[in-house]
Amino acid sequence: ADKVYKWRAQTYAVPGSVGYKALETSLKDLKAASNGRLDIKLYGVGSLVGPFEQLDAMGMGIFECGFNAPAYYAGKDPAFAALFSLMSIWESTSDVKIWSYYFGGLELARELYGKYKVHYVGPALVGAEPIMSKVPLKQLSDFNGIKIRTAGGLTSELFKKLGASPVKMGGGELYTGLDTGVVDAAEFVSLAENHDIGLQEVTEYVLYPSFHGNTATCDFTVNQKAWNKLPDDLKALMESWVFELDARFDYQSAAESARALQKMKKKGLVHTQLSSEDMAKARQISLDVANEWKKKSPMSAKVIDSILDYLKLTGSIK
Amino acid sequence: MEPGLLTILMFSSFFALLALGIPLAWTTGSLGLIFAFFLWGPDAMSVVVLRVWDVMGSFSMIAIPLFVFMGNMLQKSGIAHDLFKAIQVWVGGLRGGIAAATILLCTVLAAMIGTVGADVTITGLIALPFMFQRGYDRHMALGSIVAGGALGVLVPPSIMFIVYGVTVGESIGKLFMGGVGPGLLFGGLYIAYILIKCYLDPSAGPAAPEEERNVPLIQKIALFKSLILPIGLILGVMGSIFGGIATPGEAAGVGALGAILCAGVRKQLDWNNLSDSLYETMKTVGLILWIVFGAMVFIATYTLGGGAEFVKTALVALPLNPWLVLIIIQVILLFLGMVLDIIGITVLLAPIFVPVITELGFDPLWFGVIFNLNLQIAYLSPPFGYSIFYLKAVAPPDVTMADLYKSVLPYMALQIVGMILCMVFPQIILWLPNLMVQ
Amino acid sequence: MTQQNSQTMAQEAEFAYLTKIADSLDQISEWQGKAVSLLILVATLQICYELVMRYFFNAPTVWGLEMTVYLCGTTYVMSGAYAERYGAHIRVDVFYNNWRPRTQAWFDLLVTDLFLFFFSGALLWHGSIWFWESVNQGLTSGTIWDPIIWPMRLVIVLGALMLMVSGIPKFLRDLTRAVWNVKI
Ligand code: NA
Ligand code: NA
Repeated sequence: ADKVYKWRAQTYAVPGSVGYKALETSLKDLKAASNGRLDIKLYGVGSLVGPFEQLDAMGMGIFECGFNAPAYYAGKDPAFAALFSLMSIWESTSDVKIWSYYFGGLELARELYGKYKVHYVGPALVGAEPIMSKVPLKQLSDFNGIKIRTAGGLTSELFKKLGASPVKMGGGELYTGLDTGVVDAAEFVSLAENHDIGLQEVTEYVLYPSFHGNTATCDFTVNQKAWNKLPDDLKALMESWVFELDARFDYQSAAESARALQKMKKKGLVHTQLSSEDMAKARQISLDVANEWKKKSPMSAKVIDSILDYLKLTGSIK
Repeated sequence: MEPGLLTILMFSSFFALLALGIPLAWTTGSLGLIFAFFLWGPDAMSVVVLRVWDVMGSFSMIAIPLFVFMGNMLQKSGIAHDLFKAIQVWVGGLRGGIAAATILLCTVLAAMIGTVGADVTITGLIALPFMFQRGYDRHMALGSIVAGGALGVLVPPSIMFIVYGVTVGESIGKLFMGGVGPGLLFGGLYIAYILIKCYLDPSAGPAAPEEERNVPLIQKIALFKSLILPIGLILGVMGSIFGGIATPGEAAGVGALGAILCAGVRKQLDWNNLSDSLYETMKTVGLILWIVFGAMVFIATYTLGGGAEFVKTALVALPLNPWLVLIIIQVILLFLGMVLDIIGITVLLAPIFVPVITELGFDPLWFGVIFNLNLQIAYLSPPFGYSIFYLKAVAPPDVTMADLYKSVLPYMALQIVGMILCMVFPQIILWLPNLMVQ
Repeated sequence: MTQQNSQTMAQEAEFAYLTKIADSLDQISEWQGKAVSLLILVATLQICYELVMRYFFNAPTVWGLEMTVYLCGTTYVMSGAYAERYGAHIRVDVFYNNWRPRTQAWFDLLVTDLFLFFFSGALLWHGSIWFWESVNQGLTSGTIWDPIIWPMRLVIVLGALMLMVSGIPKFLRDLTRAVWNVKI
């Protein structure tokens, strides 16, 4: 019989949440499609190692693969933060995918992850993120003086430029952080996942779509040695599977986010949006932040330059 | 390796080595690493450094050294002395009144302090000699302190809830609120038991002599003064958490500073008291955190090997009523609580049981509090009960372990009754968290 | 009686250097534990400062929360040795306590001490690799404050090392007790 690859994957997502369920379903498909040869067991956030330690753990081979937000690895190389989110510079998730697959993004990500003995299979994105808060956030000037949770990275710099104090916190401590007022507001992936961890219980306002992240790019990565041992047919299967995973992740998240927003409004949360002038202003500040971020590391400059070149080509920026 | 076989090998070697007397921290840590080595090779052993690093970076864990320090400092400050005097003047006239006052003192202390050790030590030093002197029945006196002190687990703040919250990702704020109802229920049960028992049998806990009871009302009211510092501390710690000022970890820092100030107010603040408290804290932190490190390595290896998933699938697939599964889990915890350290049980078993409970459709917050109710019994249950050890350390030398073991039995029975009440009427736990979320 | 006494004394003299090594290693554990315990006081004051800045002046520092976590994190790792020096690590001693002291010493020598050295050794080994990587790659914490992280990783290395060091006196005492039945 063919060799069965029994792997373990850890994700940033909490078991039962939308992100987790999308991944769980896709992994079942992968097992079926590989005739049972690729059997990957999924573990929730922190059940094997903490989210910030995941890259190390995969590199060391503690588990074979993972699905995570590269922002958690910004301490390793600031380029990871640029891969994760460019605030409102990206306009849509399909833009990111076009860049990844046809304008050199995939190669850059592989070069970056390769340094840590990890193979980058491909991206999986979610669209616009919300900001949930205890104080009303209706215009950019409302951000002055508030404490806001972020995962770190470029978004922190953006908030700083608006006069807010960014606080770095893992998703697990977010609820308590808002509840106890350590932060006034929080950005944490998709609206649906905000709802799953109950942030509507401890906030009163939801800014959606927000200006700080039109897209968030998570990724599926595999320990390099484990990847190398995989036969070619399974490698090809996995690559096309990530393509499918990305679609499921994106669409399921959009669907669940629409439902979540409905539920939050019903619960009495106030839904706010920025004016188009403020959105344009936020995009300009985002560009400034990105240009400064290039100085942080050579890889960071390579990634951001490549993205900006692509966006110039499409005419999205000047 | 098959997860079933892994479960048998890991847990049987764990219990065997533990029973032989190897410290818990080294047993779990080393076994986790040995199994990781044989299953996946030397590189997998690096899981130890990743787990340690993860704990070192937790916002919530900082509460442990700070609450332990706070408890040690409060002990030196002597504020509990005045408090006990006041409570005792008010209720000492009843048969069993001093024991009831002891439970009240424990409850107030529990609302200030995050650790059981400080509760038991303080009460043991103050109330025990007093009760012995008044001719209280030995077991009545000892039992009230051992059980009352364990209320520290339930009445927030509580490092047990913090360790649980960090381990399974449950909201610490909600767990704290969930502990209030059961804490008051258990305290009430103890007091009712004491008063009824002493009413029926006055020799168990005689009333205070007439001359002590005849304190003029104006003096009785003046004794309220002694409540100022404790209430200030409770407001400082719990108020800063629920007033939206601080995380539970930071609130512990507020409490620690508050305890230092209390010592200052009572003229007990000097380098000796401060440094002694710090050194004692270091010892306690060492034993707690290294149990956490060891247990985390053990459970990471077990989970990576598919063990946790195996237990979940097996328990969920049992052709049993979900309630029966819950009761089985409770009985397992009850037995382990007799012989195992409480932190160890939490870090080892909460990650295995919580997914089962969620899958069966129970409320995970409710289960989190029930889990800690059960571990609260472990503080008392012989032979390995922290509360018993703490009291033994400060009790007069003629108090034997046998005395202590016997004294806890009625209180353990009450705890089991209380736990069943909380399972049958979940609102005892959930009313406050639900109220706060509204 | 006197003969036995003098024999014991002769033996003790023979093991004097071992006693000296054990005692001085104990002193190291003691000293580092007491020194590190001061960080708890520093953390207490620093938290209160941070809260005042955050709540009353709406000016939280960028380093406050993270600094507290590092201060306390240092005590977690370093306290292992201090607790070991005082024999504070929890063990189940229902059977153990019924053994003769020499049996206990043999058991500790061959099993307990080995477990301690194995656990702390593994942490020392992997901690060192991990520490070295953070120095080599100049890793930072990736937060707003974004400090270099090798000092905190060095703490893991030191904590594991100190735990091993704190285990040596016990190992020596178990050794002399088990092999020569001498208490040092
Ligand atoms: Na408490
Ligand atoms: Na027990």
